[in-house]
Amino acid sequence: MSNIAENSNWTWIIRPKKGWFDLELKEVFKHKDLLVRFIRREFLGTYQQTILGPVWIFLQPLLTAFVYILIFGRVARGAGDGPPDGLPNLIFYLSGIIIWNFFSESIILTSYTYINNVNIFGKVYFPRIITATAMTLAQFIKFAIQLGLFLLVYIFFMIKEPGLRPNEWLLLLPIALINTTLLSLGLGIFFASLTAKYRDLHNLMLFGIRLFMFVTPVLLPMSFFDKHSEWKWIIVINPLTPIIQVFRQGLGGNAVFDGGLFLYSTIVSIFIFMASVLVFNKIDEKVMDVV
Amino acid sequence: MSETVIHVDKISKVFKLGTISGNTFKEDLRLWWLKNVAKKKDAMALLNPDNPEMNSGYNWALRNISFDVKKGEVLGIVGTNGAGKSTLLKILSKVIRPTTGEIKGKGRIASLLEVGTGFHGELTGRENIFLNGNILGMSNREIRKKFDDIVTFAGVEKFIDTPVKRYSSGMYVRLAFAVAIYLEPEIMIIDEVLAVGDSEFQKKCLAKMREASEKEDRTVLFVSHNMQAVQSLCTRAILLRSGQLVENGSPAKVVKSYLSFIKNSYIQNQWDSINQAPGNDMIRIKKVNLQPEISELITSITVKTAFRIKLEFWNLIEKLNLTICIHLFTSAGELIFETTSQPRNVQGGIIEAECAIPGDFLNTGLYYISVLFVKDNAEEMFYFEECLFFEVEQDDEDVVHFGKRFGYIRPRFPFTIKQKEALVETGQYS
Repeated sequence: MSNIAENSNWTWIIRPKKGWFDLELKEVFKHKDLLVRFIRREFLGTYQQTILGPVWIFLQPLLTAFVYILIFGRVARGAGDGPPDGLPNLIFYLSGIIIWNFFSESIILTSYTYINNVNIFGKVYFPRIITATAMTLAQFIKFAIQLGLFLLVYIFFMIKEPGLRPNEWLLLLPIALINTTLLSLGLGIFFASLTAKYRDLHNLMLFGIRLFMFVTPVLLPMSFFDKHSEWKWIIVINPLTPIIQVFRQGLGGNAVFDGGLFLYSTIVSIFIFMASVLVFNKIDEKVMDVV
Repeated sequence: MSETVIHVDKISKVFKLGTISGNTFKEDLRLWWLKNVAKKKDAMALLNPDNPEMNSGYNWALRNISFDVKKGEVLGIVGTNGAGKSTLLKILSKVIRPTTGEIKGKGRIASLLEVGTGFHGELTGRENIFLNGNILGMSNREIRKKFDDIVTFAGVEKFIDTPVKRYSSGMYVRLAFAVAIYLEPEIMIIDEVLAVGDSEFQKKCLAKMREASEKEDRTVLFVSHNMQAVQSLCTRAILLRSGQLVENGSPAKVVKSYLSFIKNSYIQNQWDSINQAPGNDMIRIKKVNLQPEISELITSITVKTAFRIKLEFWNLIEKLNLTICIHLFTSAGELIFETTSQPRNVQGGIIEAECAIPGDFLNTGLYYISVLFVKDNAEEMFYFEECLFFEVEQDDEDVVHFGKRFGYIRPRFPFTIKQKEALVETGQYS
């Protein structure tokens, strides 16, 4: 139309590198419908071509919980006094397992962002963070369903055991869940950036996650670690510990719980998330050359 | 009269060769060290296509390309395989970034880089339309408004709720094209996709593209091997050769120099170093050439000339059951035939293969061939695309009698004409 305005109002610029803080948030926001679509596809796609289909969402944590009760229930009991953290066995294990599964599965699946999407990433551009976020959020939906089931089991136990009552700590659960999401999405995209180029780091990551489970109070209650204090500091600095503990505390657990550690976990989660977003965004400019 | 919507300023793109060979981490560290710790001034100078040090082990897919595109233009991008077209389009559609240089632009870009880009086989046509629109950054509401037009244009009304994996490739392209053009991007990038659709749909697409550029002032970047389409559709064209922009001007002029270039240089291709040769970790091409049967000196091929397609390549697999397929295409990208060798067991090393094409078979015109290497009759090892270009010329004697014949092939099949009965009575001849 007007050639006077020429050379000034470019709407996009492609440069060899982008700045660390050039996050293209506008572009990301424009693709919000794509995010929803990807979440749906990922969530529904997981249970296609399985016999039991969505039943697995319930079955998997239940089976895991029974196995843990069989194997670790004794250890936990032998180490301490009575039920773990003052909760019924099933409630103790299920609460840890569903949070842990959400955390670990999100990281693993999100870390495959580039490897699983080479084809589409090589042909069209849209902010890659959309795919990664969709992976984690699809896991979150699965987790939310499991949480619903878990609450039913909890109500059953409340009727059975009159001493079992939730308390005000449970109000922190939404924040705890946001922290878990930020933490797993953050770590997921961080590993996605690393493994895109150096694939063998993937095995290292899987190994690391398995080890990480042992320094998170999933299998053993805090009271166990109180007795083995030489290891306790690792459990304490683990940002996932307060998340699981605040949940169990809110359900009526009796472990020693420090609200300050929960604040610490929140700050660490936000920090890891933001730092990872910057790394992911920066690495992204080169990934398609090497994948 | 109209404003510049894309300004490409000296872009180059370098790819490292042999990234699989494992020293990338070391390389990365070295470059990082030079740049950040040693603060070497010329560390950045390494990233320069003119630097001789950067010419071994690196492949410059693009070298200092600059051009402008104005609003409403249809720009044809022409060049042989490996000239850098795809790299350029990938950079323009933000899939990869340039190594140096800068591109500025105005308006939303939609790119159709390959058939069914962003299509998901398990999803239905309907879901795929939404998926593609979303990828382009459209909201579901915007897509819903265009939905009916897209379906009608693509002609897939009946199949809209069928998973696209059951679509024919023609339907696939139609849908992909319809989505891209109806979602009204200001700039469209189209790479070769039209070659797949039938000719009727090609015409429909070309007309739609022309309409988009003329009436709605939209800009189109168009890559094609179909020189006729480039000439009739584009308002301007650029020619790329080994990553450099060698010509920028009227489509007729650019097409002419493209054709004369491929005629002269693509009858033979040779690579001396195994690392530079096209291929992968199973097959590396050493040499391809076309040899007329009559004499090694004659390089022109007429409709009567029989010729051989000769291949030499490194086989990097110890024991291999190998089959080779040759695909012969017209310059417009239509596949004329596929011919397949007998499977044969070979050892690692240099292998030679040849295929004889008889005379009196291909009609006049420009052709190219692609070669597919297959392992155990099942697994695709390497598809060497567009490895030879050649022109079949008119035979001088022939033209006097018949003029140009129709069709892509002009075989001589046994043909007899006999007098069955003679007319006896006079007056029956009119």
